[in-house]
Amino acid sequence: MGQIAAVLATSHVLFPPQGVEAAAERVFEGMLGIGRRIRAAEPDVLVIVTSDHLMNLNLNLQPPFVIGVADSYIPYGDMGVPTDPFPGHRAFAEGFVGFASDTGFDLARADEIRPDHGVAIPHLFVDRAGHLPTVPLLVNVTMDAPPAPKRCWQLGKVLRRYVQEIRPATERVAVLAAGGLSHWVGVKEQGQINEVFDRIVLDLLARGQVETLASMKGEVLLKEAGNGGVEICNWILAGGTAGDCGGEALFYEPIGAWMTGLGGFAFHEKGHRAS
Amino acid sequence: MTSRRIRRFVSAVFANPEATAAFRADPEAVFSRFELDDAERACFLAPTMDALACLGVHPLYRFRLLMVVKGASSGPSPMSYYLGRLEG
Repeated sequence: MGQIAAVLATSHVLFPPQGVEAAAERVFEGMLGIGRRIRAAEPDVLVIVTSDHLMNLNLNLQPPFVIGVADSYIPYGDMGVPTDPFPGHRAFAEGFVGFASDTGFDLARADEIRPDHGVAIPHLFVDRAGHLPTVPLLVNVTMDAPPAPKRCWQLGKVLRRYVQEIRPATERVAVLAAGGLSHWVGVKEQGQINEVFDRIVLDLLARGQVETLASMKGEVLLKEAGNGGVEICNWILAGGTAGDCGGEALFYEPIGAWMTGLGGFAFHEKGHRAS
Repeated sequence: MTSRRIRRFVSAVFANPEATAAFRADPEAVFSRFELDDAERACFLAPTMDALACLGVHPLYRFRLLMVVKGASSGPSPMSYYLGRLEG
């Protein structure tokens, strides 16, 4: 059986630090720390659970879950991300499509995507050199209605089973959820941050109560976290992969000028090498 | 509910970076290709969140349209402040 080597979660944006220098630095340092933890776990493959921002997906065809099966990726380049290529992991991704199909999830395969900042920014913090085989797993939160939290949590458990039951014994898999926390985009509430809710999310995750979060109805998550904060589903998915084990918040900053709450989290499954 | 025409127009503008640049350079040409009427053209040339919402434009596209039209993406990119300090 393969090993879940590390499971972490992080916001996936950074904006200019002017006016919020101290908070921006804490977020940046927090994201650097997440990259260090994943590298310390010495993974053979990195799965980034994130969302596309209508850069690849669009409103003409809206699959709820999409997995990148390409051999390599060139980032879209939005937000100033360098367009340096990095490797995919076709065998891992295609194997997961088959395993998921047998366990109740029909994933859309993507052979041609240019990962936007949702993938590319967290990837930069883990693997700036672009050597680590990486599999993007996209939760389509731009859909109306997006995948439900419970569905994401269940898919996370399927990913855990796939690694532990199907993958080679020597393979070490790191999972990095990306997105959130609360923010509203393109709606009248844009600019709001629900710090109270964000801290509840971090607290539930820390206590291993992922199922409680996953039991939340999608409409409640939308109301409390915003249409951008639905990306918390990505964290819930990762919580399922980690085995609902609990963990620790690494940073949290509600930055009004950036119109979002930003956080980082490490799941502490027994046996993880990262510390 | 967005119309099929508006949905296709907005999707085309953001299909790739080149399409977005082409819209920024010559919006009227893109309007004509998708047969937008005068009121719709006016809305996209001077967009507001409310007007775009009335046309049924997806919130994420509203945000991006406002960024494009207001030239917010012409300054230093967000990651330019951080790239030099990345590790790994």
